[in-house]
Amino acid sequence: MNDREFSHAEDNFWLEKGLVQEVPLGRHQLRKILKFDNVPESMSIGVNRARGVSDDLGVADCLDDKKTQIQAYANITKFNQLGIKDYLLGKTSAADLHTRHAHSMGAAVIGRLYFAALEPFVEYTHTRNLFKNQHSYFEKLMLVALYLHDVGHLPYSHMVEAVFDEINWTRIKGASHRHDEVPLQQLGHEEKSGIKEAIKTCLNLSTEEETEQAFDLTQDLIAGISGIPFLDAIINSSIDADKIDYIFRDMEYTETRARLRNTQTWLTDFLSNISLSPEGLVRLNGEAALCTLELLEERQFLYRVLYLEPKIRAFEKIASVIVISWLTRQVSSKLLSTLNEKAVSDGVFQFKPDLRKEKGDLAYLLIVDKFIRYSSHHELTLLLDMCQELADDPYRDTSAKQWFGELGKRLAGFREVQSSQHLIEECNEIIVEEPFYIAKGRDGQYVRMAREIARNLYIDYPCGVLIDIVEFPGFLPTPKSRHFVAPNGVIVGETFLVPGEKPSEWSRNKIGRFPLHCCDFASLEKQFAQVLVINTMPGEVNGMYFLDLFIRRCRENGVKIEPSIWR
Amino acid sequence: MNVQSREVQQKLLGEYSNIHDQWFSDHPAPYTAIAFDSYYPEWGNPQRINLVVNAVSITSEADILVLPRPYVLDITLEEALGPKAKGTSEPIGLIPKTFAYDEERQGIIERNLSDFLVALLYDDILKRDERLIIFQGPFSPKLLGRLGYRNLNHDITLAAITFKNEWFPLNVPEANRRLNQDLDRSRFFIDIERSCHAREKAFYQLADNKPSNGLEEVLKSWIAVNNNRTVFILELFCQFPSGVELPGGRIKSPWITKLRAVQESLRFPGLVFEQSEPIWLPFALACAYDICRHYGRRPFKEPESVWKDYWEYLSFYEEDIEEMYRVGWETAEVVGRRSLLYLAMFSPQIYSFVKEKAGLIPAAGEFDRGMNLSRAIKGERTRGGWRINRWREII
Repeated sequence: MNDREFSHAEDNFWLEKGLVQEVPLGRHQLRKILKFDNVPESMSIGVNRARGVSDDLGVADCLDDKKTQIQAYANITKFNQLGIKDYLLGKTSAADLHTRHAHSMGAAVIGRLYFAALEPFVEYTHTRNLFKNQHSYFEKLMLVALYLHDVGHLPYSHMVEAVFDEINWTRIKGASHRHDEVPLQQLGHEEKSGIKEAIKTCLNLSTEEETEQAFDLTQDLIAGISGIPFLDAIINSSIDADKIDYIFRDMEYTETRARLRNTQTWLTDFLSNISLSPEGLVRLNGEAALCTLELLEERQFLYRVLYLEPKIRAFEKIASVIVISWLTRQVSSKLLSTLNEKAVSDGVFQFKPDLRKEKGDLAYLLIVDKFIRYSSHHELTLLLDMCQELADDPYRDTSAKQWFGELGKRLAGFREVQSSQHLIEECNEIIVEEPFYIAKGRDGQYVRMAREIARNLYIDYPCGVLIDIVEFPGFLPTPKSRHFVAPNGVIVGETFLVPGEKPSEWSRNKIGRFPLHCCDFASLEKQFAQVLVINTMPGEVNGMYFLDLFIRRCRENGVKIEPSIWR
Repeated sequence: MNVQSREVQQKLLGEYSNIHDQWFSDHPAPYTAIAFDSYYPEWGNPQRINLVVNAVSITSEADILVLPRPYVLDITLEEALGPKAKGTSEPIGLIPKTFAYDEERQGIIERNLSDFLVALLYDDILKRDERLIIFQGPFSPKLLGRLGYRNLNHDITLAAITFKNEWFPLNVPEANRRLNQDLDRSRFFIDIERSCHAREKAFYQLADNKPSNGLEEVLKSWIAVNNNRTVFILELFCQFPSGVELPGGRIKSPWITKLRAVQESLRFPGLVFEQSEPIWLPFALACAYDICRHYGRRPFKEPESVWKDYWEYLSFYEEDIEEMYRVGWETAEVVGRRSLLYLAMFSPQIYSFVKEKAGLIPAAGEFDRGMNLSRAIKGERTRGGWRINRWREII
C-alpha cells in the first residue's frame, strides 16, 4: 500500500495546528503481535505530503455546491459546537470558529486517516469482495456521512436535546429526539434531494436507483448500522472519528486542561496499532487499546470539568428554561393552525396526530428561522431576544415577565467578557451551596423521581429557584442504534475487539480479541446524577428553603443522596 | 366560533327566567368551557381511539358561541408509541377502563389531549381576552406541566370540573379546611333545585380535597357534594395567586375570588347525565360535553343506564339526542331542553307549563309528576308516529 496524501477540506483545527499533515504509522509492533507480515512496516498518511497518491475526492465541494438546497447543512456553519459554553467561558472570539460544521470537517479528516489506516487489512476480511474496486466509493460515502452526521442539530447543541427530552418533543416520528441516529430522516424533501444530487455528482452515479441506494447507505452509515463494521466504527461507534475530533477540539477551544498525551502522538499511536479481524471488526491492539482507554477516560474527565461543570450547568439550566418557555409559547400559538392545514377535510377537523413530531418540527423552524438572521454571537443574542419576547408576552403574569427580564440582564453580561471570571462571580451569587449527587437507581428510577419533584417545585414556585439534574454518562458510549432488542434482552452489535475483559490487564503486547462492550468498566463509571440548586433571584428568594425542600421530598420518596462522589 | 340561534336561546333563557330570577341575568359573567370525550371508532380494535374536543363560550352579551365543528384526534396507540422521554410526568389514567392499557398508552391520550387543550387556549380562547376558562377535569399532570411552563397571568382563572365519576378516585381527598371556612361552605355552591322549590337536600356543598400530586401552592381542589354524593371535583390552577388587600389590612384570598367566578358561571346551569345521575354544570361546559359525548360513529354502545321509572321520560329524551344532533338541533337547545324537562319533575311551575302542552293531569309530588310525564310520553311513543319535534312542542 502506498503512502497516502489527502486533499483537505476547510478544516481549521487539525490542519492549522499542523497535526495531520503527516502521520507516520509504525507497524512494527503490530506485525509482531499479529504475526502478520502483509502490511508495510511503516506507512505515512496525511494531508500535505509531497509524495503519494493525489486523491481529491471532492466530497465537500459537492455538498457545498448544494448548500442553498441543503439548508440544514448550511445552518450548522452557524451552530456553535458547545452551545453557549464558549460565551460563558469568555471564549467569545473563538465561538464563531468552534462550529458544528468545522467539527464535521475535522471528523472527516480523522475519518480519512482512520480509513487509510485500516484499508490495508480489508482484503483479509469477509468484506473484501464488497470492497473490490470500490474503495473510493465507500470512502466517499463515509465522508458524506461524516460531513452530514450533525445536520440534525438545532442551535444550543445538546442543551436543546435535553429540552426536547424534557418536554417530550421530537423531530423523528416514533422516536426520541437524538441528532446522531437518523439526522437525514428529519430533513425535508428538498434537502434530501440536494443530498442525493451531491452524492450522485461526487460518486459519478448514473442512475436514480444507484443514487437512492447510496443515500440509504449514507443514512445507515450515520446511524452506524450499515453492516460494514469498520465503516460503522469510524462513523458512529464508541471510538469514532466524531468523538476523537470533538474531544481534542473542545479541549483546545475551551483551553481545558488535558491529561491525554500530545494529540499527534495519540493519533499516531492509535492509528498505528489498529487492524481488522477476518469478520471485519476493528481490533484495538496493544497501544491502540491503551489509547482508547485514555480517550474514553478523558471524555469522562471532560464531562466533569467542562460539559457538566456546575457553573456552566447553572447557566445552561437558565438558558434551557428560557428556551422551553419560549418554544412552548410560540408552538402553542401556531400548532392549531398547522394542524388545521393538515386536517382531513371530510366535515370534521380530523387528524392522526403525532403531536410530539408536529411540535418538534414547528420548534425547529421557529428557532432556526430566528437564529440564522443574526450576524454574530448567535446563541447569546437569540437567548436575549427570547427573554425580551417572554417579558412582553401579554398572557404571562407580571412576576414572570419581570423574571425573564432579569434573566436577560444576567445573560447580557456575557456578551463582552474575555475570561471565565464573570461566570465565577455570577455563580457565586446564584448557586445555592455545593452541588450534590443522587444515585441513579435501577433503570434511573431515582433520577426520574427527582426530576418529577424538581418539575413540581418549579410549577409550584415558579420564576425563582431552578433545580438542575443531570446524569453522568456511561463510560462506553456505544450508539443506541446498535442496541438491538432480542427476546432475552438487549444485544449490542459491537464493532471493536480489545485485548481482554478487564481494562487493567490490557497491555502493549496483546491482540484485540474481546468485544469492547463486554468489558467491565464499572469501576470507571459514576452511577450518579448531579443536582444543582440555582437561585436566580438572590436577595428576593430564599434558596436554602428550596434546597431543603427538595432534599426532604427526595428522601421521602426513597431517593438516595450523596454529598460527594469525587473521593 | 359560531353563535347559536338567538331565537332558541331567548326562548330557553326566557323559560329559565320564568322559573327563577336568579337563574340568568342579561349580562352573565363570560367564560369558555372546554370538554372532551373518547370513543372507539372500530369495533374490536381497542388500539384506535378517537378523542373529541369542543369549546363553548358564553359572552357578556349572553351569546352562546360554539366551535363550528368539534376537533377529532384520531389516535392509533401502536403508531404513536415512542420511547419514554426523560422527565415526563406520569399519566393519570383517563383512557376508558374497558381495556387494560399500559402507562405508555395511557400517556399518549393524555399528552395529545393536553397539547391540544393548550393549543386551543392560545390560538383561540386567550385571543378573545377570556378570563375564566373551565376545563372538563381532571387537570392531568401533563396538562398542569404544560400550563406550568406558560406562567399565565394571575387574573386568568383556570378551573377544571371533573364530573365523570369513573375519574373521581384519581384525586385523593384530604383536609384543606382553612379555605373552606373562609368560603362559608354551607351555601357556596348552586342550589338550583331548591330554587325551583325542590328538595332542601339539593344543595351542592363544598367538601375539602387536596391534590396528591405535590402541587400545594398552585393547585386547589374541592369536592361538590349533594346529599353525601360526590357530584364533581373542582380544581383551580394559578401560579401567581396574589391576594387583594381589604380595608383593615386583611388579605382576601385570590382563590376565593376565583371560586366566586366559577360559582357565577353556575348561575346559568346545564344538565348532563353520567351513569343516570343528574349533574348540574356551568351551561357552556354541559353544552361542550354534550356535543363531544354524542359525536361520531360509535360501534361500542355503552350499556343502557338504569333509570328510575319516574325518570323514564328523560331516558326517552336521551335516546332521541343523536337524532336531534343529526337533524341539526343546536347544543344549547338540546341541553337547555333537557335541563327544563328534568326540572319539570321538581318544579310545579315548569310542570304546569309542560302539563298544558303534554296534556297531563295535575300532580303534587316529584314522583307523581315524573310518572305522569313518563306515562304520557311513553304512550305517545308506543302509539307510533312519534316525531322528534314533539319535544319542542312539549317544552
